[in-house]
Amino acid sequence: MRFRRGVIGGAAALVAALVISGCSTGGGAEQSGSGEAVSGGDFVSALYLEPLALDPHRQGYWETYRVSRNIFEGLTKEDTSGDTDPTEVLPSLATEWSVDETGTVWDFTLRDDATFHDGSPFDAEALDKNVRRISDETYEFYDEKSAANLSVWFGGLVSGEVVDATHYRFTFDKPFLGLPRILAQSMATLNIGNPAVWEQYGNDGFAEHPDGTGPYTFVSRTTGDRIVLAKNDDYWGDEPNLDSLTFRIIPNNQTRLAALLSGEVDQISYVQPDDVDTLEEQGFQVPEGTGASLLYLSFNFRNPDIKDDRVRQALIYGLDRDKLTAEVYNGYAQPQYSFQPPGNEAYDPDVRDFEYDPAKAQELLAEAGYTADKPLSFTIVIDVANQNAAEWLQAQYKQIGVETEIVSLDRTSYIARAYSDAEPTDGLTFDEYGGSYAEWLYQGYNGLTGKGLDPADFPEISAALDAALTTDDESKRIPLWQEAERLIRENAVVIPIANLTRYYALSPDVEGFVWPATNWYDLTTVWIDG
Amino acid sequence: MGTLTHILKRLVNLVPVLLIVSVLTFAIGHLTQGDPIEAQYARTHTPEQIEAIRAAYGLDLPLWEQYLRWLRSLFVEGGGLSIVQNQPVFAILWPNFVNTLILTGAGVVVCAVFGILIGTLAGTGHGRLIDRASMFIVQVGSNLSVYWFGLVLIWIFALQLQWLPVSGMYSRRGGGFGDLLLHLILPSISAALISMLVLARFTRIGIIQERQSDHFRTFRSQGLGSVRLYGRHVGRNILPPVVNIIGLEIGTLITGVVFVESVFNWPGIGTQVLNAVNGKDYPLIQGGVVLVALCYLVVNLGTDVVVDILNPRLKRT
Repeated sequence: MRFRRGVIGGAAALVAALVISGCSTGGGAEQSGSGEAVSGGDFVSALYLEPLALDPHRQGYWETYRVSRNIFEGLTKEDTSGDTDPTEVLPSLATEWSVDETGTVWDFTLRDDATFHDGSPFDAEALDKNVRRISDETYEFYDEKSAANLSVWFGGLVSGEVVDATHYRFTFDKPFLGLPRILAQSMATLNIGNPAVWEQYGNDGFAEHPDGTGPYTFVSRTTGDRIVLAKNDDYWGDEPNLDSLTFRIIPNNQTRLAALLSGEVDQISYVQPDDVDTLEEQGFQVPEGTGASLLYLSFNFRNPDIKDDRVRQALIYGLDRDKLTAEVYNGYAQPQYSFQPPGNEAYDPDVRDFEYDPAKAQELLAEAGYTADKPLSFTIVIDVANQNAAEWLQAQYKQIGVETEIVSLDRTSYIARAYSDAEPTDGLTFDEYGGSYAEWLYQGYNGLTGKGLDPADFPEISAALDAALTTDDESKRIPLWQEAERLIRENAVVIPIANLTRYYALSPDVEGFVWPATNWYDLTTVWIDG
Repeated sequence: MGTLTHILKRLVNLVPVLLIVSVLTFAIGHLTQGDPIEAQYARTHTPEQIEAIRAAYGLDLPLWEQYLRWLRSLFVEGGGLSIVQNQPVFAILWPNFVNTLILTGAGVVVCAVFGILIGTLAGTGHGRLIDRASMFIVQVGSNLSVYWFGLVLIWIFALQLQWLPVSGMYSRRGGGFGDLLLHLILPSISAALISMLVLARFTRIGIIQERQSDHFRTFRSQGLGSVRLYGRHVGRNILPPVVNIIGLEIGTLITGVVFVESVFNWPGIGTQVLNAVNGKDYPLIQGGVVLVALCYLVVNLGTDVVVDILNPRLKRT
C-alpha cells in the first residue's frame, strides 16, 4: 500500500502525476561543479512558512531563523560546514568563554572588530543592552514579550555585567553548563540585535528595522511575498559569495515544487517525500542528511485509558517503524527510538524502546482489560499535513485490535486541541521538533506536560532532568541527559517515530550548499555556478 | 431625493454594518479553538511561561477590553500590532490589498470580456451548435474546483509549454508592467472562471429574452441591421443586469481569490489572512476581514449607483 502526502489529496495526486509526466525540458543538467566559488548573484530560497518577527529575542520557528541568522548572530554558533555530527560549537561574536567551578558564572571574551549594520560597534555595552532588554525591568527598553520568551533559559539569570569593552560576565542562580550551545540556537535565546534600533523605534518597532552584525543586511520585507537581504560589505567574517538573498514565501507544497522546477527559485525547504525521485531524475539536488529533529507521537494524559502504563507500552510495541518510514515517507526517513533527536549532542542511535512486537502488544492490552468486544479506542489528532501518517497508524493499530478515529485540523486548531483543549477521548497527537543541544530534552518534556502529563506521576524523570540541567560537572552532563532520556523512554511517555532524511532541494547550478546536523544551514558558502 | 443624498445615506448605513462585522470577526476569532501564543510556544514552554507571554501581549485581559482596544487601534494604531510579525496590521495588509485589487481587476476584465462574449455567441446562436457547445463548456466549467483548475493551468502553460510563469507577481530578474501582465494571465483566468460562466449564462438568457420580445421582432421586420439591433437595443436593455452581475462578481472575486492566491502564490490579502488564520494572529485576521468587508460593501454600493444611473426606471426613493 502506498500513502500519498499532501494537504489536498486529489490535487496532490494530480500534481504528483503531472510533475512526473511533465517538465521534461526543465532541469536535466548534470552537476558540473568546478569547485571554484563564484562571487555575486541573487539566491532565491522558497520557504514553506511565513517567518515570524525578525527580532532576535521574539523570533520563533526554524523558517524564521533560516532568514534571520543572516542578519543576527549569537555569541557562539554551530559549525554548519557539515563536518561534525553533532555540530561543534564555534566562536561567533565571542572569541572564547569559560565557566567557574560552580558552573554559575560565565565569562565571555567578545570580538572587537564586529559592527552593527548601522556602523555602530558591537561591544560589551551593546551586549549588556541586549541582556537588559530581556531581563532588567528597570531598563527603559525592557521587553516583557522577549523576557517571557527567553525565560526558559534566562529565567535563572542573576546578573549580566560589563567587565570591560570586550569582556562580559553572566551569573546564573544554578549551574548552567549548557549555555554555550544554547547561545547558538534560534529560539528563546540571546541572539544579538542593535540596541540603537529599539532605542529609536521602540521594542515593537524593531522587527520593521532589523539590524544585527550578520553577513547580510535587511533590505525589505513584503509579508506574504518575500524578504530581501543584501551582502554586508563590512562584515567581520569571511565574505559571503552571494550579493543578495531573496526568501520567497510559498506555503503551497505543489506551487513551491513547481517554482523550483521552473527555475523561479534556487532552493525549497520541506520537500515532500513523494517528490524526491522526480526532482532527482530531473537533475535537481536533494541532499541527504539529518537535521536535529524528529517526528514523534505524544500521549494525551488527560485520557484515563492512556494513564495505564501497559496501554502506552502496547501502543509502542504495536508500531512497526521500519514499515512506517518505508511506506509513509518512501524510505526518505529513518526510524527513531530515542526522544533525543539525531544531531543532538546526547543522541545515542543504539538505544531501543519497546520494539515492534504485535503479540506482546495484544497481550498487554488483554492484561489491561481490553477485549475484541470492548477494544481500546481513542482519537488520533493531527495537523492536516500528517494525514497520511495518521491513516497508516490507524491501519497499523487495527492489527492489534485498537480502534482509532482521526481528527485532522489546521495548524493552530491542532495545537490548541493537542495542548489546552484536549478531549478525554483523544489518545495520540503528532509533532515534529528537536534541537542539537542536550537541554532540548527539557523543552521536549515541557511540551509533554502541556499535554496533561503530570510531572508528579514521574518524579524520577523530573529529578533526572533537573540533575542534568544543573550539573556543575561537564564530564557528567551528557551522561546525565542520556539517563534522563532513558527514563523518559522506559516510562513510555512518548513515541519517537522517525526523522526525515530529505528536506531541502536545490537547482542543479547551486554549489556549496551543506545540510549540517542541525535545523538550519549557512548561505555564506553557497554560490551559483554559471 | 437626489442621487447624492441617496449615496450619502447608504454610506452612513455602512457604519452599523461594519460595527457588526467587527464584533462578529472578533468573536469568531476569540471564541474558537486556538491561541497565537500557544501555537508558537506550546512545544517549548511550560504552561506558566506561556501564561506570562500571553499577559505580555495583553491576551489575558477580559474580552470586552480586548475588543475596545482593538477598535481603538483601527483608528489610531494602524489596526494594532500583528502578534506573530510584530508590525502594524494595516502596514502589512496594505501592499497585499493592492495586489489583490490588481488580481481582482484583471479577473473582472477577463470575466466581463469573455463572459459577455460567450453569452452573446450562445444567445445570438440560440438553439444552434455554438449555443450548445458554449453551454456545455459553461456547465462543465461551473463545476470545476478553482484549486484544481489553477493547478492544471500551471501544469499546461507553466511546466509543459513553459509559456507563462508558475507563481508570484514578478520574475526573479524581471519587473515592469509586461512582466506583471504575464504573471496575471493564469491567476486571473482561474479567479474569473466561475464568475465568467455565471455572466455568460445571464447574458445569453438576456439576449434570448430580448430576441423573443415584440420590439425586437418589429425592428427586425423593418430590416434593421444586426449591429445596430444588438448594439443599440438588445445591448442597452441587458446592460443593467449585466452590470449588476459584474458588481456582484467583483465582491465574489475579492473574497474568493483566496484559493487562487494560494495556488499561484499571489501575495494578496487572501494569502495573508489565510496565513494569519494559521497562526491565529487575531489583529491581522480581524483587520483583513474588516478591510475585505468594507471593500465588498463599497463595491455593492457602487454597483447599485451605476445600475440606478443606467436604468432610471429602477430609481429608488
